[in-house]
This record gives sequence, structure tokens and C-alpha cells, in this order.
Amino acid sequence: MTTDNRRRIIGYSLLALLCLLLLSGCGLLPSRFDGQEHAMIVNVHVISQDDGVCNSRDSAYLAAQTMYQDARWAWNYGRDLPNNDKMATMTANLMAITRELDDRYKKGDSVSATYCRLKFKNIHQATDTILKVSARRPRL
Amino acid sequence: MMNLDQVIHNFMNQPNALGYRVQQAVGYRDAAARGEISQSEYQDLLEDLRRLDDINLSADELDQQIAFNECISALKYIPLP
Repeated sequence: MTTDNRRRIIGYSLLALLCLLLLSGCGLLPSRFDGQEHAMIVNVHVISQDDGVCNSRDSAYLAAQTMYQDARWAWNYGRDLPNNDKMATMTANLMAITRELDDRYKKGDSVSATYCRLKFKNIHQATDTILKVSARRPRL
Repeated sequence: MMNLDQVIHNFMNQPNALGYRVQQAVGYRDAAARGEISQSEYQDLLEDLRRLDDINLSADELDQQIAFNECISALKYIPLP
């Protein structure tokens, strides 16, 4: 190996290290794809597809409860992962959207079928956006 | 001078995410006016729109981070001239 090649390799290594430090320091490094976090959001997405459950209070309550629990799980799991602040912000909002529906059923409030269907639609929109970007995150 | 309904109508006709969100909000208002949803349900659905906007914003930022990271990774494999 010539001295020139050696210098070049050292130069590249230093450049890569510098890039890594800059990216992580400036918050420009995306979090790695996490199968468990992604799967939990898929659960919410799949449940939110079926707004037919809104016609029955018991079924709607069960679905609302499951969606809230899964969103809460995703937020609690992801919030401390490195460079995962964007995902944590999204799952925190998803948690807030699902909590309201769950709370109304839990408190025994009267919940209209239209409101239930609109909430399911909003949850579906939210999970759709999150899943699309989550799936693009770099793998190990 | 435009009244509030005209302002909302102008926003609704925008062919972008903002226009779509305003259409959703107007849909909620109509449902509340017809008595299909209660006042508190209406308020919560409006709050959802703000949360959905927050999610979109974070998704865009994460998308940019991913794209930037991909560029840096690709540059590492391109030999210098």
C-alpha cells in the first residue's frame, strides 16, 4: 500500500467520523428502523381500518382501548431510543388522538357513531403518515 | 371586505394539505350543526387536526433526515477524483 493510498484511507475515515459526529450533534441522524415500534403502530393502523365497529358500543370500546394501549406502548418504548425524537413526537400525538376516544367510552359518556367513525378516520390518517416514514428509516 | 365564510371557502379551495384540513374542519362543523356529533366531540375533532398537522411536520423532518443520511452514506462510496 502506497503512502498516498494510506493517507486517502485515513482521510476518508476521519471524514466519515466527522460526518457522524456532526450529524448526531445537530440532530440530523435519523433513528434506526425498529421492528417492534413499527409493529405496534401497524396494530393501531389495522384496527382503525374497520370503523364498522362504531355501530356497537362494546366493540367500539374494545377497539378504542386497544388502539390507545398500543399507541401508549409505542410512545413509551420509543421515547428513550437514541435520535428518536421525531418518532416520539408522532407517537405522542397518536396517543393523544386515541386517548380521547378511549376516555369517552371509559367514562360512560354517550359517544355518537359519527364521532367514532371520524376518530377512526383521523387515527388511520395519523398511522398512515407515521408508518410511511417509519418504514424508510435505515436498517442496521 | 371578505367575511369569515369567504375566508374559509378560499382556504378550502387550496389544492394542498391545508385545503384538505379546512375541508375536514368544515365537515365537522356541518356534522355538529346537524346534531350528529356533540359540541365537545366537535372540539376534540378540531384538536385532532392540529395533532395531525404536528404528525405531518415531524414526518417531513424525519423524511429529510433520512434523505440527508442516504446522501452522506452514498458519498462515502464515491471515490474522489
